[in-house]
Amino acid sequence: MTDDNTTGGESEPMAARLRRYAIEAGIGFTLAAVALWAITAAGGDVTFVYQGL
Amino acid sequence: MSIDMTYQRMTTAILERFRVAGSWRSGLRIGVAFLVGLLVLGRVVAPDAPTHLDRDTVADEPPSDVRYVAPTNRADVAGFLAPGPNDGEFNVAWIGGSEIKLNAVSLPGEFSTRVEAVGNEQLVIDAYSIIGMRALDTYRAAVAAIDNDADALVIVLNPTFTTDEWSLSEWRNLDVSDPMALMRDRRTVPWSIALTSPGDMVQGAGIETVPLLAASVEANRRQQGWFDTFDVLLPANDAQIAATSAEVDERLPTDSTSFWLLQDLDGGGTDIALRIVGIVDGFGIGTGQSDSIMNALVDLAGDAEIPVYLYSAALNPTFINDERYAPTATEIERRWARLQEYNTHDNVIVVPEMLSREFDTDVAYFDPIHTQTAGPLADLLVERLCAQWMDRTERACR
Repeated sequence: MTDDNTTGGESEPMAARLRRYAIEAGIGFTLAAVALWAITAAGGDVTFVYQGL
Repeated sequence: MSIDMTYQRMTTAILERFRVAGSWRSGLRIGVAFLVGLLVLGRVVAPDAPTHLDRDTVADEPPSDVRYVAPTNRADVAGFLAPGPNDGEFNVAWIGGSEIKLNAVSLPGEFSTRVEAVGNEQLVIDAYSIIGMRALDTYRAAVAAIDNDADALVIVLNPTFTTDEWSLSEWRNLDVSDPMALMRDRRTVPWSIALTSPGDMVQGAGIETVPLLAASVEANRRQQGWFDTFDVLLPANDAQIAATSAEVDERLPTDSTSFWLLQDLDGGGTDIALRIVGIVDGFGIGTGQSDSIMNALVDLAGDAEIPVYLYSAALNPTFINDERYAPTATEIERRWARLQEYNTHDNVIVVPEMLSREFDTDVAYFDPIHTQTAGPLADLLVERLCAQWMDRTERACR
């Protein structure tokens, strides 16, 4: 399991950490875009979200 | 490859290759990015904030300048979009269903062609009109109109939609646009809890913070424009549709959504007058809940301290004078008389008798409820409403 600040017990280089943060932000934004698309595609009705759960 | 395996490969790739989502901190950061993404993207790509002019409304005949501020489809969660009041305007909120606006026939529209101003203020009518408006929908509209600082309310309740077995709320999208509207009176609080789901609350909060969700109807229309190119149903074959429609069982009434009434009305389901009698009579279930909501509506109107005129839809005189239906019409008036008795507010007038009993002329109706022209009723209401406004505000109609 990847720890937040270390890899294999060693300090993670700043560049690698920033890259990881950027990927996390990218995933979050992509999910947000998909969610907004899905909600508007459903005509603004978000009930499908909890009905699906 | 199964879905499970695909999912496992994807998550393994994300975890091992990119070294993210492997700890709760990383998951939290992705969650924060998701929320920021919702707020930023939902603002950047949003169409303009919705207004009442975006909605599909059939133009009045004769033309009028009435503003139709209610949603016209059930996916529209933007709620009632009445423009804010301006100085020099006498703003009337006219609340009712298809009995006040059906296609080009408009009662407020006819009224606006007869009255231009009240005192020195220009008359501006906002119609809070949605098809099939039920008691709770009416209550929500009254809350919205009062919050918008209307100077007077005119409220029409259609008796076919004020019985308990007939859904008391038809427009579920109003649960989203103003989830707190039913929390103001203890009599409507149980309905608020029952009707407003957690999803509605989340969506309600969403449209407050994410402009794209507030303008979702327009966004959906644009999206359909882009994606429907690929939709094979879009260029539907009309002849094929007509052929399919012809296959409907001929024993069903034209409006086959009401087929169940056939059983309850002993074969009279195709007679719209008999159907209305059945609905109004409540199939023996009663009107207790609906009465409670109507009483709450009277008190809401009373507390607003503005002139409020509340009447029953003016049913077709042919219907109310027919001996088969007359007892139902009388029962409606008896019920409205109880509402009048309940009313103790000076600013609220409850009219128990159907206004159609007072028409000077014969009025053509499409059916027991909908007039083909709203002129005669508008003439009568000019007399009644102007008298009330004069009495309450000392301003005369011009």
